[in-house]
Amino acid sequence: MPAESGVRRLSTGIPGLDRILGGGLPALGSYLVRGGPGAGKSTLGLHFLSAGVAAGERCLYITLEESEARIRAQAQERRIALEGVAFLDISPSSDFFAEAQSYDIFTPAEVEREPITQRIVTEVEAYRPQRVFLDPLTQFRYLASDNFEFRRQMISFLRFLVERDATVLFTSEKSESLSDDDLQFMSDGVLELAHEPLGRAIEVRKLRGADFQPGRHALRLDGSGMTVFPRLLPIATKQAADFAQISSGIAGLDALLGGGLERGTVTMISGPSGVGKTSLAMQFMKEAAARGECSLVYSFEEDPALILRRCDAIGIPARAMIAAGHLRLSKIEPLQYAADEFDNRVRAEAETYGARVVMIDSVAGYELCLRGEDLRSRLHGLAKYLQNLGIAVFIINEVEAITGAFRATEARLSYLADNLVFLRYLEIDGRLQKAIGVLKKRLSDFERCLRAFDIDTRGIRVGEPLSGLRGLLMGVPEPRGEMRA
Amino acid sequence: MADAQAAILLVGANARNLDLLEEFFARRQRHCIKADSLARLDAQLAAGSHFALALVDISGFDAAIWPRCQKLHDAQTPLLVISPRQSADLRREGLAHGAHDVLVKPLMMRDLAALTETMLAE
Repeated sequence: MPAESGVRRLSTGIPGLDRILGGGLPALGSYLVRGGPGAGKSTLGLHFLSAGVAAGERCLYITLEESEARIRAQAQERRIALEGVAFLDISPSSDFFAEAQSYDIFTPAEVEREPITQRIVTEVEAYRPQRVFLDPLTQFRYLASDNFEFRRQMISFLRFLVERDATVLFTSEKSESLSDDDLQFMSDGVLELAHEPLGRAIEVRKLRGADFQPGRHALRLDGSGMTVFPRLLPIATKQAADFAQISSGIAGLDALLGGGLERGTVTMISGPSGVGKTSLAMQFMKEAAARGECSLVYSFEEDPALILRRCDAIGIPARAMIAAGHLRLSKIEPLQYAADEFDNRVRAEAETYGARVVMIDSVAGYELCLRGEDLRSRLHGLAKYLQNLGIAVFIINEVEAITGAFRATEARLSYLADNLVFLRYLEIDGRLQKAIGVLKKRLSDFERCLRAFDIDTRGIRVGEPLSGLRGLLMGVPEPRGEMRA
Repeated sequence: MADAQAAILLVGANARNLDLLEEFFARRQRHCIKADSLARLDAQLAAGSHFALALVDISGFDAAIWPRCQKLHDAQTPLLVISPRQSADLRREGLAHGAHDVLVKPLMMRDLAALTETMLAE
């Protein structure tokens, strides 16, 4: 895969990682994969070699720790094809211990280095691999008498491989007691894997002479091997602006919104629990379906069955929309998803199905995916990515206060929204009523008043502007006549 | 130049150590005879074999190793004693029983090569 600079890129076999690397690893370089135990270093190497074989390249796995049989078994468990990958197994056999081959006359560095070096040189000269995975290179540290010698040997060794037209991936075992700074300096790139209580991640720390997408990106290790979820970058999808207005299908609501909502905008619907936020967004999807468009709903809290039942009750034909391929309803369990993973799922589905409307329900659920990351920047990235695809994005934001002093959002998110629609409860003449209003709309004028809002079996109804009242935003309005001086 | 035909005697209780020393000298075109017990060492001494050099790793042997070192010295065999640790007592014992030098493990190959080549040349 040629990169913009003309340097040939080699796929790592992990599509998400290739995207972060701008197409793959630049050929004829040596790259360090570092991380603690269980971080996925070897799995990454298996993908790298498997991709090489698929591309018709000669691939060599040099193992200094695990046996070939064990590595092949692991690859099989992760369904990574290793047929065609050559192995140079320099790991110690069980005989090493059983036959009491221990010695102390010379240092291991002096005894082991020469035969190991000779085996590698012989194998490389004979096989001429185009991809080499060395796992772990840090084993060579024990074969050097000091750090200076180790550094010299490794620079020479990596150069030996690269000069024979190989692209090299090698691992280091990162620990607090044993630094691998020297390896980072001598490599052309550094891929860092993290396995932390909050989730797994990968970060490209260095890629000499090539652009890459910085930052930490979520990854998953499972029966299919490693999947990397690059963080969404809105700029990567910037398309021609499409701000055509779409109707809600409800005259009163359209009037409130100055004609409707625009495509390619982010609408935050804010309000307390049970007030009708999700149903309001579903109303726009109903209209989208009537135009033959596809909508996606990601529900973090409610089960799709519950949403469908409510839609049945208020005249939104969600089941028919699903059957016609105009609606996809997904339940997201936030604790099973990292934010990058969720974002990439939304991206992939939005692009696959050509979605024109997407609802994230809700902010609180999405926040659970973040494991402490900054909510505003992450939600910004996702919403703007979709917006740049010309999609009308709905973000549902629940506020805890049922009545009382008005707050549109409780997480300083209002800047994200092009349109800020709020629903709230009012107490009028001792009865609880719902109202809808618009606080902000970037692309058109809108009504600066509240309208009555109700949902029943006939669907959503938006009444005339509430006039003759004051204190609406406090939740307990009074007739204007009772205004005090 | 020492007798090119004479072998080097390697004495030690660790078979792997003896193998490594043998490989080390084989790379320098030197034939070695190994003795991994006092009984085998006694057999070599009784046979009156002539050795170009003897290396005795005292690890795993008791004080009975010292009279054998003395016998090697008495037979004009250049002798190097190899000690498992830095010890003034072991060094004194080794030199007192005819050792040219007392080396401490692990040995550096480069240093051992330089030392033995000099001794063999003498």
